Amino acid sequence: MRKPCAPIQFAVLLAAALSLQALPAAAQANFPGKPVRIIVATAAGGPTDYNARLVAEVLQRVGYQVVVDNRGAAGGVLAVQAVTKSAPDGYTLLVSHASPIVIFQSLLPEKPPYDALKDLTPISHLSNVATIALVNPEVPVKTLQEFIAYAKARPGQLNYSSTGTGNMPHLTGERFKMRTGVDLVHVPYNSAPQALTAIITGEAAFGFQSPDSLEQYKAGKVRALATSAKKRLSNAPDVPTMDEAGLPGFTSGAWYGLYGPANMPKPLVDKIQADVAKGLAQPDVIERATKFGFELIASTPEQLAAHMRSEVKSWSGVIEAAKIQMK
Amino acid sequence: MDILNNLGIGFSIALQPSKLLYCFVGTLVGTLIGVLPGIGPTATIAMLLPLTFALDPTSALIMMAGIYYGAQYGGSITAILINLPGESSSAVTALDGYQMARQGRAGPALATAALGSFFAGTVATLIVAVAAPPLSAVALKFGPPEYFSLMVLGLVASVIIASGAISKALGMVVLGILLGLVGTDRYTATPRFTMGFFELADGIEIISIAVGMFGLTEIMRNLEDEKTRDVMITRVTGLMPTREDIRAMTAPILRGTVIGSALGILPGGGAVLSSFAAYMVEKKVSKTPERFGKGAIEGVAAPESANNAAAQTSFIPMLTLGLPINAVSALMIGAMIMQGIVPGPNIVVEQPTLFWGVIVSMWVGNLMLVLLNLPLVGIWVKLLSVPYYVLFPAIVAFSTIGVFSVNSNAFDLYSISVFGLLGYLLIKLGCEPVPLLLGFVLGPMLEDQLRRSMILSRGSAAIFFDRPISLTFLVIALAVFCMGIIPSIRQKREEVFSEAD
Repeated sequence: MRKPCAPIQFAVLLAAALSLQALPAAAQANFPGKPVRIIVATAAGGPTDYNARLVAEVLQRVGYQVVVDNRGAAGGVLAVQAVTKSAPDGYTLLVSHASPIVIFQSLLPEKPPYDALKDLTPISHLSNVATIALVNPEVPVKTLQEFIAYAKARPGQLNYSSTGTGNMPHLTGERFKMRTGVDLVHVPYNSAPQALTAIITGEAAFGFQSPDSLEQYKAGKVRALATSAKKRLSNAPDVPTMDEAGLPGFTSGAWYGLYGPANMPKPLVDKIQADVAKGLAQPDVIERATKFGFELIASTPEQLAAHMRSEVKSWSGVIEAAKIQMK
Repeated sequence: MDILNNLGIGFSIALQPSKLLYCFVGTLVGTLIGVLPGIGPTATIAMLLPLTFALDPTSALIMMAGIYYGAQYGGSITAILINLPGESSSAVTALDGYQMARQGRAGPALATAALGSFFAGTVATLIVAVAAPPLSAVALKFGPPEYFSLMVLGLVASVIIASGAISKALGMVVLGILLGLVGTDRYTATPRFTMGFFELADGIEIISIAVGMFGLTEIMRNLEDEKTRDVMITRVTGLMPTREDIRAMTAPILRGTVIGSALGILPGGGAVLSSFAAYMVEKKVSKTPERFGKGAIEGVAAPESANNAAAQTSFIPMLTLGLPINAVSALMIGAMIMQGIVPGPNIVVEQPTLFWGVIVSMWVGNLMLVLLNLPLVGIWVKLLSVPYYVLFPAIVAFSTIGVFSVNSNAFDLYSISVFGLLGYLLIKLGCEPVPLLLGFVLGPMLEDQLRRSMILSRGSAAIFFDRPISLTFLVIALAVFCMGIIPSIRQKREEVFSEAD
């Protein structure tokens, strides 16, 4: 596949690299002069991928050429690792969910081969996605507070389902247990649909799910007690927010961010951040994203860096506590 | 009348020229990737997913479904021709299909696979159309204990599939289960047997085992002996099945269709089990079980019908409940969400044209597959006359490209090499790779469901015996085990005695 003029290409690359070193501003003026590759930390089709496609779309609207590269292996660790090893020239970006960025270093016995706080350049927060607290319809409760009371009266008897140990619905469940003091037994499943099925059949009394599960609520297969979104969701306006349900500020860790390799020049970061922020503020983009429960948040790089640090701290606390309970 | 009405809606959608085109593209792409070793339907659909965002949702689903069942068929082409199953469900097809090819009967084997698949696809599509909602209720009856018992039955039965010594088959199943344990433990997030490779955190890719242990191993085995290699090239007799063949395949196709339709409904593992189960049943009911593994046409007809029927009915939970349980339907749901349709239990009522259009297109797609593939049989068979010094490097090259394109990960290439060598070693020791593959696929599910059941029961094993469906499977497993093990023990003793004489 290699073209015969490799030495010339090399020379151009070298020149480009040198000019980037010497004249960063000039290089950024030409940015993006070639396709930008967005590496996604999951396979195609899920919420992380949705965020990546959204970024790709809004960047394409302002003239970028974008290639989306899904690398879901090892929970996203390999995707993050690939980005940390790329040149910080803005042509390789990462869209990732929270786990490989702020959770795995506390969770996994073998640490990921990077330090996300040091080896990545935060560019922008992209979105948060609401989590929905669901119960099996046979459980005789109508509100979150009733469920908490019901569960407190039955310590260790009720199950909650998750998509796997260390995944967001599990950690959210553990956060819920810590916050409310109820004792639920964690049952991990292999995927969100399986975890949802378990709530439908009653194998699990309770669980946290993404907003697409509201279809099951509308069909009467599960009961939705609360959503972690700041405002009630437009497709299920009768489901109260966590604030209204008596757990103010309770969130899951389902959020998504845009990153680059470490040491990206500041003007380049700012340009990409500005382009993304402008794109995410367009009404049609907001409308589509809101429909699926995504709350678009374009933050500054500094805000994202601060968010990463606070998330690392918060989840390591939950994981510490959960580990004690898991024994 | 309602059903006719609904099928009418479906046909009016599925027969639109644009839908026919996407259906054709889907089945064609599916067949091609099935033939291309190393890349399965899940990876293909994942890669093509972004392209579907530009289509309307019905066309997108029709195309993706076409890729899925097209690949089921395409995978059996390579299984028959070069002993390289494209999908785990066509691994059993390779047992007798490849032997038929070596005897110069690749044509009838391929035609049998096409006809069996078409018949099974037609029946299963009708089942989906008529009985999807009640069947989805059955699927929900299957909790962790039921799945565990079903897996036990599957593993016990797999030992019987093997034609060699029972002890070796058992050993292969256990080795398969052990290989299946590699990766992150879902219950404690602890890495197991990953030897520090993050590439192994998700476990070993099934494609590495399929390409390595079947494809590469077969090539190495062929290269070692000049004479056996020539046999399969020279004697190609007849492309189409004879009347005798058709008589022999009819009953197996019927049984395979029933087994496949039933097991396909069960999300998670059902579709994989179906082809193994169908093969096992044929071997058991046959008057001449010794022919199996040596080119019995029943051994191709039954599993091929079963895996295609299962491929159709496996859409039932997704279509009726909006609950995607296997990887392919999860991707299809992902595509629907991107399109702005959030699927749920009301999808039949809310999106009737999409629901019935997709179902009818499945049948149309099956028809296309058979029309596409029967004329191609001759061309596929000609592939066998390609000299090995062209064919073998080409297989290796295409496998490598296929495997690499899935994750762009060089590690995957090392692992097919390792499994190629391991497979060769095992063949030399007289061990068959098929029970290993089944252990690899079912083992992790077995462990998963066992541990989940034990959490649900708070540690009491009674959960497996209290539930009638689970108990039934365990009783059948015990019966199968006794049936399988007793004759072989008796045989062993007879051998010992005859040697003593």
